[in-house]
Amino acid sequence: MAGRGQAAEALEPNGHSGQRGASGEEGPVRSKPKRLGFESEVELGGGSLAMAKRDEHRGLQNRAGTKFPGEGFRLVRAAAIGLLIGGCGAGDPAELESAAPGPPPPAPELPPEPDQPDSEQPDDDPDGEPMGFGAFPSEAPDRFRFLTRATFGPNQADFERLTELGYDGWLTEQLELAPTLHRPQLEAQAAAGQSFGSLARQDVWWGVAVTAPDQLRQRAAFAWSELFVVSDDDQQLFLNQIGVADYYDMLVEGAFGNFRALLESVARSPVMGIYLSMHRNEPADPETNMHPDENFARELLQLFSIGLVQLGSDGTVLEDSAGQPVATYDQLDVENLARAFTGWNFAGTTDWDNPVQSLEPMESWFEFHDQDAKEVLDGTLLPAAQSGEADLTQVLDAIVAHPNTGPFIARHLIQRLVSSNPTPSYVGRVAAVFADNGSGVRGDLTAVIRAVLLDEEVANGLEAAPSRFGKLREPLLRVTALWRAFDGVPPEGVYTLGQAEAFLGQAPLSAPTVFNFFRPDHVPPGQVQQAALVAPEMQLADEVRITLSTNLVRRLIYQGFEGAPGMPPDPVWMDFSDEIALAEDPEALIDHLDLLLMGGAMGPAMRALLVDYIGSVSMTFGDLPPGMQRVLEAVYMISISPEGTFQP
Amino acid sequence: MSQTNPRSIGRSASETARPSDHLGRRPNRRELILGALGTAVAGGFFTGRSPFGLPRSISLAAPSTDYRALVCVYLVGGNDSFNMLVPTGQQAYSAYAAARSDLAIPLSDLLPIGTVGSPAQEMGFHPNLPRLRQRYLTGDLGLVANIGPLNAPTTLAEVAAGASHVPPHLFSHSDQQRYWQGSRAEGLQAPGWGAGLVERLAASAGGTLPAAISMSGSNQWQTSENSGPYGLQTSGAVEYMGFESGLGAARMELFEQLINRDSERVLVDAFAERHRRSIEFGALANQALLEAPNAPEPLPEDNALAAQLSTIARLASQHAELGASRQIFFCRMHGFDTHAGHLEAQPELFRQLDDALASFQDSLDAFGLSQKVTTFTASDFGRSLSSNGKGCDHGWGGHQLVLGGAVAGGAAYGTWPTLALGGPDDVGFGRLLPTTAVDQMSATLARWMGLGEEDLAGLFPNLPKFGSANLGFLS
Repeated sequence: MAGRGQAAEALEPNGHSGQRGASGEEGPVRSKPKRLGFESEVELGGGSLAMAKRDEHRGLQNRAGTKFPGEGFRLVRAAAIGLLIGGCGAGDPAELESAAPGPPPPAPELPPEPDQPDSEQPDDDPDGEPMGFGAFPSEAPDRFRFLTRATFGPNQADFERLTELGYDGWLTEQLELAPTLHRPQLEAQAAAGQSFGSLARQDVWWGVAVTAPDQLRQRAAFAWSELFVVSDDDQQLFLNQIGVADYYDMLVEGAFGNFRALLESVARSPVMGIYLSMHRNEPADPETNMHPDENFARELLQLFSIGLVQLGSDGTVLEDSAGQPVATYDQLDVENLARAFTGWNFAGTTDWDNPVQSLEPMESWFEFHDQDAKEVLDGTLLPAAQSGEADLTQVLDAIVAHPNTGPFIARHLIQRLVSSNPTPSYVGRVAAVFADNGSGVRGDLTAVIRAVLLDEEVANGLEAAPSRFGKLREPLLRVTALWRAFDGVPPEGVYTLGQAEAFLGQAPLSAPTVFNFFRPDHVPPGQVQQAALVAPEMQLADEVRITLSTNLVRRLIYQGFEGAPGMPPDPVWMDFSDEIALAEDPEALIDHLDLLLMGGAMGPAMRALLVDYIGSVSMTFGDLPPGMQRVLEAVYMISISPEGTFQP
Repeated sequence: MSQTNPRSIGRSASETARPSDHLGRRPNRRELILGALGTAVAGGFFTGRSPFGLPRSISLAAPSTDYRALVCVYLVGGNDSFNMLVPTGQQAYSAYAAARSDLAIPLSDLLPIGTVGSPAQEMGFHPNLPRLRQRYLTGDLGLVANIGPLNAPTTLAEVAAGASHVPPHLFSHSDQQRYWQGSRAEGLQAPGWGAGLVERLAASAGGTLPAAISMSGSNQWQTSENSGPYGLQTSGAVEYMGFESGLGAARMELFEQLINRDSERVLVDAFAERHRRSIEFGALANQALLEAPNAPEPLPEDNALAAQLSTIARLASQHAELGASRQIFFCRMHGFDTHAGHLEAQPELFRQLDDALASFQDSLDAFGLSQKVTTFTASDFGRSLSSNGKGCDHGWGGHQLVLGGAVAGGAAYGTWPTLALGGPDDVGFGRLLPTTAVDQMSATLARWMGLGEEDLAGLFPNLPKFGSANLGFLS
């Protein structure tokens, strides 16, 4: 049976400790509140509050410019990338040590308030917009929000690069970067005698998500992995993690290609073949009452391409004269598609019943392919005696040409990258680009991704529709954003959460079913339902998960820096030196973190609460560097707050 | 079809049948990990807490003398229940074996229960369900035959003609799950009937905890426009770490302020509300579990469903302390979508289901709750009788189980289907047209929980269309 060859070695656990209670300490108890000097600033804060209200909207970029001084930790980051990309154990720990931040710089008495823009930032043009950004808003919060959608979380380096290149230039650069692949890293671990099981594959994913330069491609691939779902919850795939990593790489490589090609690589993938059991699907056999397996045929239509009901070009559900939705296909379509999808086996196999393991695209066997004529999807006729390849080609062509596919895919990408509740016009504009990229090409995913990220509805989304724009962050993306924001580096060389999914309810390519971790139309009770909105990510935020993930974030922060108390397993050390430099000035610290972690979307009430709280935390705590405790408190409270869990 | 499958040459149907004695599916990794996380401990953040620091005694609530609870055991993916209960009479078994081909359970492996149901048939349980069979024989387990989503009584001809009352999106997991869990006239975005039941009971039905408790997160059964389940894991509520003392207390104060404000962002507020519920009820749930008795026997190992059910039994044992008069519990078991690997997976699925349900009922007996708690299974659909060579596909009707001291067990309700391809119940490949509607079973359960006719009519608008609004398996 496929995947069994490497069974024993691939099984977990692989050295990760199973129990990872958030048992760390976070420094001594705070000293008695509110130092005098600081209280006076709080008093003055009445003015600051008013300013904050104004700042909340657009006035933050000058401050931001001064609050991302650090070139220093670039070295650390580079070392981390070297460690990861260069292969496990290749890095020199001493080098890492020496590159790690030393004692924090002395805190300034007052936050610097330069009244001239940072020289690296583009000058505003007469219309008040920096050059290179086109019509899309480009104040600092806009740029951070853009990066939140287009990467696994903004950091200083991305922000600078985006500032230098503008949206268009940044996108062009990202689109041209070579894909960072997962499978070779997992294979290198296997070759070195290390684990290549499920956790090892997830660890490779964490490393790539946090450090890979091709962020946009990786983020898009993650979105595809939540549409074309395979999961190592399947026992065969659990034992074949190299295959699962290879499947993910297929999504990475196809992320910006044509949808038709991506769909075909999914359909012919042996990993999908195993997961939705198209592999070795056989024609009907009246003698034994057997019929072809319908698994892939059904989910290809329902989940991967056209969905259950007919859609208008803007994704709205079409209704018949009785006001009812109209089904896109019926059971006969599924049965006939299942017939069309008979005869596929692993590449290189010579004995149908004893397939060789291969990660190459599956191959079709004519003698195991249903050779009768079939009609699918309202009139696509697959003639008799046609090969399996020819049937597949015709079927996929029909699916890609189906009017539902554009709006269906548009909505998925918008929901994964930008907003849970796009308007029909937004979906319609992206779907139109799917239909025609401007050069007559249908399914050009590069054009589609650009359209998703730079749509006019995104431009001033939160300001224009505060109750409906944006989305909750997925659990995995909460963690990647944290590690990226502070250039997290694992001293052991491996980014890992261990059994992440147990805390977060989510791990890459590990959904409980082909219906992903959450449904795109999930509606929690209460105000979301009353507002006729959807909140897919809320499906992972029941009282259990929401608390487990809060506790996990706590551990990642309070044990997430060099010299942190406690003995965390597999730490990732974040660099808070920029923040420590601001710790004397709670307002400056909070404004800085607002941009970095919340895209400048922190409301004035939350800001006031945080400023007040941070001011009450002592600058000195035990052995921690001065200011560290304030930084930890601020980062933690923002990270677990409802507003901080929201992607603006 | 003119083409012959190459593998059928020189092989008869009976030769393709294999005994289903494999050990199979590893326990669901996710469920096991989650079950291992955290424990309900005294002295943690939750202890003595209730909404935002106000002390609230859980012993003030008046004990209830009339307690009842429903437990939904949801079998995710579509349970192949035509192998759970199998006809053992010679003729009926032959028809079954022919239809099921390589998926058929050998006759000699089945655990017989004698003649039962309508039309009267000799039946047997799958060989890995011995404890449920025992509960059947002692009268605690009832069988509901060939039940599934229907909007009105439906004939094969109406299905073929695509009549408007045929439920939409048959054979789709997500839609049929909604159908099983929802309460509707038509359409699928319906509120859950469990939530609807709770809303029609006294507002205080759940006592100090919400009346709807889920051991498996979000689900439609317990969700309506205004209410959703309260989630627990097998060890109880998860404690917030780092909020206990010193700086933690200040942190907690800030956190409570952050989750207690309305932003203008609906999704933010929904997230905040979930935190508020976690804090509000965690202490109460954990206190109740601390005081609850343990199960009379060790839990079956590597059995996530058994762990979920054990926590339910322990929580139900504290109903008086919680002041609860009615509760509804939800749990899930994954792995039933056996398109492939069926012969390996099914025996292990049934072994776990058997152990979990039986040990749960043992606990309820020990806690004196056997008459007060009724458990039922539900699943997306039954599966196709016919095999695809590796497993079977999405079907429609299927059998379900009802378990408890209040159940008129040792009997089957509804009508046994004809297990034959091309038979009078077959809509294609052995997907069987249900002869009993989900709403009939749900209404029977809801009536036992205390709903009157008017409430039942409101909750199940299609009910009058069916022959009986009470299947009679609960007294």
